[in-house]
Amino acid sequence: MEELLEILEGIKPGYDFENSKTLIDDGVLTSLDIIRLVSEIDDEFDVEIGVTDLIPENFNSVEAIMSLIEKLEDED
Amino acid sequence: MGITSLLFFGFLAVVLIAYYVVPKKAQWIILLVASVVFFAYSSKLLIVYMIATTLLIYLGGLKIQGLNEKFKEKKKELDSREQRKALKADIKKKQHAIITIIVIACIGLLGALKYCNFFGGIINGAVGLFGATPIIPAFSIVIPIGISYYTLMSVSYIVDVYRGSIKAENNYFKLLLFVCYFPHITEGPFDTYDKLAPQFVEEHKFDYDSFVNALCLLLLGLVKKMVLADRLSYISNEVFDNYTNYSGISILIGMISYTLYIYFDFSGCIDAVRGVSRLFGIDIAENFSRPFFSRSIQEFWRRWHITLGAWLKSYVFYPVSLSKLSKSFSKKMNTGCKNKYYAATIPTFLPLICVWLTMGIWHGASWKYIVYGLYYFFIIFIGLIFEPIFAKKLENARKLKGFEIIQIIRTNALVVIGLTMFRADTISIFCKMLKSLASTQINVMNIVHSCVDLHKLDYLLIFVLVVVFFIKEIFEEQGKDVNLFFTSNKFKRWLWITVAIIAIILLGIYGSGYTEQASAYAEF
Repeated sequence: MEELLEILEGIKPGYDFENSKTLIDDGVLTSLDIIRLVSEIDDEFDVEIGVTDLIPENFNSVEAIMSLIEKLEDED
Repeated sequence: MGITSLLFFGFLAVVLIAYYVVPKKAQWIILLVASVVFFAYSSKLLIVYMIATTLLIYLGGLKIQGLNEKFKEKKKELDSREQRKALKADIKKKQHAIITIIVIACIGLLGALKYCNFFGGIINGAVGLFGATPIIPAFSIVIPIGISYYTLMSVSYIVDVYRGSIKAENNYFKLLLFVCYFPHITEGPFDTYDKLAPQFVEEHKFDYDSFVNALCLLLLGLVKKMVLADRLSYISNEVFDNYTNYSGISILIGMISYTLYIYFDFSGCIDAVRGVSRLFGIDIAENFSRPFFSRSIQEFWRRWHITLGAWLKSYVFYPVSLSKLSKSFSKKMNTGCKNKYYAATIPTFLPLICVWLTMGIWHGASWKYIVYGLYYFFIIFIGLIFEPIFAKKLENARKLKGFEIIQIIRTNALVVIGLTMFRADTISIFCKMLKSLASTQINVMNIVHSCVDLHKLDYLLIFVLVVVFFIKEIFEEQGKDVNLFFTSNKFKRWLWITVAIIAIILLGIYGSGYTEQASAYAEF
């Protein structure tokens, strides 16, 4: 979780990610941010996020992103 | 059969009566018959292209889903993880081949019908450079209505089946209804199968309140288009068609008039078709969210033609961003570039240019549309490159109250320039118009004298309506639902309906000597 928060902090410095549940719905993370986030998550967690995973539900909160990472780790 | 024609309203009345009279389970059949009739009336035999496209995605969807089921069955019989992985890879390979063929066939058909003369011209121009005579003749091709819309919606369906986000439709006719649903076929919005298809099979009882609210939305759209946009078109057409007669502020008036025209025309038509669809109890996607309040071009494109932007994001931006080419470029940047921001931003060059080129060429087979797409690409990409510098330099300015207003004005100025390029017949004319902006000559009255169809009261009406709609949007920006104010009780709703109908009858642009103005976006 800490590594993920560090990545998010690098993308949107100063934003309170831990308490937000609508990162996509409220436009906090744009499509460009998502691609940057995906690239960094792939490197940091050694997973491969695919196009099918790029849906708002997977990126609306830190918990949702973390569940996606865990799901992809399990698949490997 | 344009949505502002009497014929359309006669057609709509018949379809509505049939829709609410037949057994609820058969309602979708009424919509299908109506949609096919609507399509065939406009495009005659060209309907075969749409039927063929639907057949292609229907069969493709079933095949892809069939492979998924085969994988699930065979997986149970396999013991080792490696075997399952190998089977999965094999299935994916087959599915990938199917999706590639179908997407190429769909886009290829669109390209052959809509873009063959454009690309033929490019090839002829290229061989002409070497002194050869043109090798590709110019074709006279008539294209079916809404081909750009139904093709992209068909692609979204088959890709979503491939991605596993939706199940393939088993009934060809239900899929056909999704593709050619008459409210969205001529000018969108781009609906997605997962949002729209379930609504077709739901049972829709006649609900008086919802029906009247839908009527209010339909009338709002017609007022925007027939009373305001069609009037604005006289001014913009005069300036753009006779741009050599104008300079300075007159050109600016023409540019702003066109921007307002296309907004009220397109958003008016979208309101109208959303209203039409809601009369059947079916919600189609919203396409505008007060775009002129955007603080950046990126934000503008999240609020203007929203469904096209969403389509480009899902089916161009993300796949290209996550392609092997983009990923390897990204990895190289991560190792070679110390600045984390630039290491992540520069690789977006490829997906962004693909998005904006697609956006440009989707609008039409012409160089000006390609330049139009590239115009937004450069604004966005250069903005991203300079973002860290601006962030530092403007740190204090961003805290000021008026800064947001400056950002909004800057964004709108860029949009007006972009739409001038969009409307001008050629890039060369666009450049001449921009150049003549610098003139200090004041020849505004020439526009008034030349627009013989508009009288003084017309200009006053345009001004009043633009201000009224602007104030409405200010309230909406503050989170207030202005529509609710007009539709909150029976009296207000019927007052609005009466006022809107009277406005359309007395002030709408129609009648003898007037050719029904097709919506600007219907031609795409």
